[in-house]
Amino acid sequence: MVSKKKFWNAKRREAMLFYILVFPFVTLFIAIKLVPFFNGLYLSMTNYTGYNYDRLNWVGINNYQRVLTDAQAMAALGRTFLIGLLTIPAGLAIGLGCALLLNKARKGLGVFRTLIYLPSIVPTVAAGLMWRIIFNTNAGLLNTILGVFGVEKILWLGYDHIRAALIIMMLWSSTGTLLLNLAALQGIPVELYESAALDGANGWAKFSRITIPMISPILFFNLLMGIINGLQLYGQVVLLAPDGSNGILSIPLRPTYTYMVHAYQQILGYSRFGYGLAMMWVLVFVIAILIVVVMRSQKYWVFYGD
Amino acid sequence: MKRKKLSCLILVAAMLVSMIGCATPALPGEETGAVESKQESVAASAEESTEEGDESTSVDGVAEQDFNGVNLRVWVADQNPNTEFKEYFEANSGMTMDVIFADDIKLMSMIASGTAPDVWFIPGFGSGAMFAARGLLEPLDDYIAKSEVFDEDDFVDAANLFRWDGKEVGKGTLYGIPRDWSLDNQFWINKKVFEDAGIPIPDSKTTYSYDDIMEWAKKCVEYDEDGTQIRWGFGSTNDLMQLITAMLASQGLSLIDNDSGKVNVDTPEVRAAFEYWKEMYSSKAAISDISTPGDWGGNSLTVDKVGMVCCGYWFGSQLANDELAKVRLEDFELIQAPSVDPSKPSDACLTGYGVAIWKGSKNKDAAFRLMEMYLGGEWGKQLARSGRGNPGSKRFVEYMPQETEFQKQAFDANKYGMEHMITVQTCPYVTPQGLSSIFQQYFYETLYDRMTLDDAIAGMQSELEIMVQEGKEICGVE
Amino acid sequence: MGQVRNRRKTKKTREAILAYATLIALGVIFMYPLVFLAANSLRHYMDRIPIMFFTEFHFENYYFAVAMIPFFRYLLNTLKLVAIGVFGSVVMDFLVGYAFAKLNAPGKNFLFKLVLFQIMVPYIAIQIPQFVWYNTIGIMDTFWVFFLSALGGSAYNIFLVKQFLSSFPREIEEAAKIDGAGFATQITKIVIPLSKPLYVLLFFNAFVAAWNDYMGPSMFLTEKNFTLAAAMFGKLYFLPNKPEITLEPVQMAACVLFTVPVIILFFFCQKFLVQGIVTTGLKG
Repeated sequence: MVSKKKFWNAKRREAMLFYILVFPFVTLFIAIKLVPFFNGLYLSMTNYTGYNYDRLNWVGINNYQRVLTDAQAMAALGRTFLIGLLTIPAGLAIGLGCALLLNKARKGLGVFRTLIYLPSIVPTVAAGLMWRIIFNTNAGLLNTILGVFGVEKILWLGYDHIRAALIIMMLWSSTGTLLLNLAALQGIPVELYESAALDGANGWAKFSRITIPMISPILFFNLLMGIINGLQLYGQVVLLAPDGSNGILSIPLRPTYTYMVHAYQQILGYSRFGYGLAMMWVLVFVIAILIVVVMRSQKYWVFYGD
Repeated sequence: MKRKKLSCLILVAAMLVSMIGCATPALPGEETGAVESKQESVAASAEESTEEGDESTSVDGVAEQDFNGVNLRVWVADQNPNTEFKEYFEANSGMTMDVIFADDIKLMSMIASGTAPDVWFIPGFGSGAMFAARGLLEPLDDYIAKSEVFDEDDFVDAANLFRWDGKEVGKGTLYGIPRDWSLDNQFWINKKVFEDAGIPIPDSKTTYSYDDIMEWAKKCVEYDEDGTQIRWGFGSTNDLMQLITAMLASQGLSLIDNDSGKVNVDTPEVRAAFEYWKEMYSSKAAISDISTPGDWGGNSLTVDKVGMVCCGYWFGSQLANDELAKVRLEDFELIQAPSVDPSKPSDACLTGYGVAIWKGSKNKDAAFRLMEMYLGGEWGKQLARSGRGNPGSKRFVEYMPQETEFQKQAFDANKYGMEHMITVQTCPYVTPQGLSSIFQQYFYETLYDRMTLDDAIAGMQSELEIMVQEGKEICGVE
Repeated sequence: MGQVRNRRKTKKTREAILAYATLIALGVIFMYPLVFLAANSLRHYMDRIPIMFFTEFHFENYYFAVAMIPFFRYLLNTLKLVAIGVFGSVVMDFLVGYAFAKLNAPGKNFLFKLVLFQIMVPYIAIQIPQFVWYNTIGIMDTFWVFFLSALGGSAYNIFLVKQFLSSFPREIEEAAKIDGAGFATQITKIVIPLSKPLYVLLFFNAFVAAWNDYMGPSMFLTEKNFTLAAAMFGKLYFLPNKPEITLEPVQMAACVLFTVPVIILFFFCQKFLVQGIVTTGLKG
């Protein structure tokens, strides 16, 4: 009798609840995602072209070795890192900054918030057209506005400035984290600010000692997602490619030629599907390493449960 | 307060709805354009010919098979399907038809899972033989031989883009039937822009040189007081690879010999072609990212912003449907494709749409019946009447629109071009996207002076050689 | 004393002016896409040169946008997808996220790594194998594809919930545990009320994700089951007798119609996220 009670002690009950709650996640993962994962991994080690699914030849880690010796792929990876460095921190700052600005109740708050969130709502179909119009050298919006200040027309979509154009585009759409940051800011009890004010803390102290730590789990989330999306950058780059009529197969100019663009080119242009997949799994590996590093750094700056 | 606001909103909504209800505008396309001949309802004409026992009922190429209840799946990559045909088909054949939009990746998924569509609408140039060489298409020779609707000799030369004998394009088994095709490097000009620029209107039956074209294009360029460009000389739907291929073809050369697989990029002619287009783009005479009015040129032509657009006969029907253009069709003319050597014409087909059957289809006979109904018989005439291109079978040429002056001019220019057509070689070992990508990449490097022409040519040569080599392995050719 | 108060007031008004100025500037910049969409949707339907700002006003494009495709059928399909997605997010993702945030069990770390792993893999790497597999197990072209995905939970959302719930002060739950509350009570009486912002977020994200999802429907469903997003993505606005001519302005009008509900939903949702909600329970 005593042993039974001790079996289902608090720890065991907790574990049981855990398993019950994650049960659907695990089983459905096995049911619908596991097989495709392994299949995808398998395909990356074959000579899959996209059209020869029924007569594949195994090539082992050939494709992976090729990735590491492919100068173009490695250069593209470096470029992707560079673009990431330029856009991820700035994007996070913009997202957070807008949220802070929009945190207090003001007149027309809802309108402002909606306007600032708009970039994330525009469908890609329209976005491509819109950006080409904005960056049009001749009579585009940006050049017209700059012209008012006496600036000469800039060839945005040419070699010299396309990276800048891409960065402008990405920063403009970095307000997607607005709702998330707002929700995080709601979780900070107001009393903390009040008691800090009583203790004589100024704005900056309030910000760095209360706000940041309290929302650090969400900041961490944003950072992680930013890294993942940044390294997989693809969609926005092809919108600015010359002769964008080729859709996903347009080749961007070299300063914006990212790793995933190269992978897609291999798949759709060169019929090297297996190789393209290998490229992607290599990227996953690189991302994983970065994530491990960032996660290890958690204990220095992320505060859980106070 | 809230109730008032809500009821206001409802009132406004109701007003809008009733306004719309009273004054529903006609949906676009309910009026016919000037290039098409009178569109008799196809069903009506089908009924007439039924009495004479004509092709539409006895579309019996696949004998007296009963296809009731079969559902055919049709793949269209980026062209929209014609909804009228779907109705006609379902009414007259007992089958149903599903139109499937699929990009490359979805197509690959469908092939991998064995559920690819039965009928494929694909471009002939580049894709036709490429799919055939990879074993994805069903040979059609037997079907055509038994068919009462098709006659192999009646097919136009563009059908050869669908021929593959295991080694060469243009010979051997036929894998697809052309639907419509145009001489894609012919030109449409805007006479008003030419007059403003002081260029004599070219004759529509003479072949001019590429240098002439550049000269005209540069003359058309105009700027306004702010330095903004308001007029361009040249625009095109063809991408760079197609333009350069056409230029080479006019000299009897091709980028890749598809029988030996030899890549011929490192030649003086290719260099000259690169330099030509670099000049065209950087001088802002041609529409490109360096300077563009916002579209590829088609719409700009109708508002006098562009002097010439390089696209084939099919553009005529677009002009005829355009609100601004159709009232001044006499301002537009179709002229012959330019050639490097004006004494040698160089009209060529660079796209050409056709229909093929998937090798793994389970409804091949039914699919062929669809092809017969679509490309032969009454609907074949309909396709020709729509003016979207030359039909795949010669006997339908007479149905192409030739009533108005505009239509006649286009038809004559087109006919002259056809008589002087050259065939452009396409290589099945490379995908058209891949070829195009390599071109774009290296060309833009030289355009922006980031790479010397020599380096670019050398780079393209070696990459293409690798691509062809791999392609040959894929197609199982030595 | 009066001087100090005045100084504080002017400082506050200065802050307010600065804030408003920034907001207005940002608002104008970020508002442009909507202006662009609206302006381009009002061009004449055959016009194919994109414009920057309003020129003409052809409102009939909106009628065309609705009349030329089976708009309401697609809308219905979209709503089905939205319902499934919201259920999956608000119920399943929340519970799984809670488990990762608050409960301990052997194997938890491994499972969490699995969650992260799913986020890291680009979709195209498993797109074709997934298609093949779904076909093999017979759920192609049904809504089971989406329902099972929703039931399994989205890794992104699970991670999000976990981060959110982890940031709650532990004292509240410790106090509840000491008072003898079981997990069920903890969840319903403490965690859920405190996570109101999270719920708003989950709901909005799920709605938008399902509403905007074109990849899923265009890959796994056939045309008759399409959602609005998939319809936008395909080229469904064309001149009936000239199918190769796409009617761009009408497509833009459809985009506007497509975007407006999301904008309204955002405006509505963000109302719940105004500062001033005092957390209960910290004192109690």
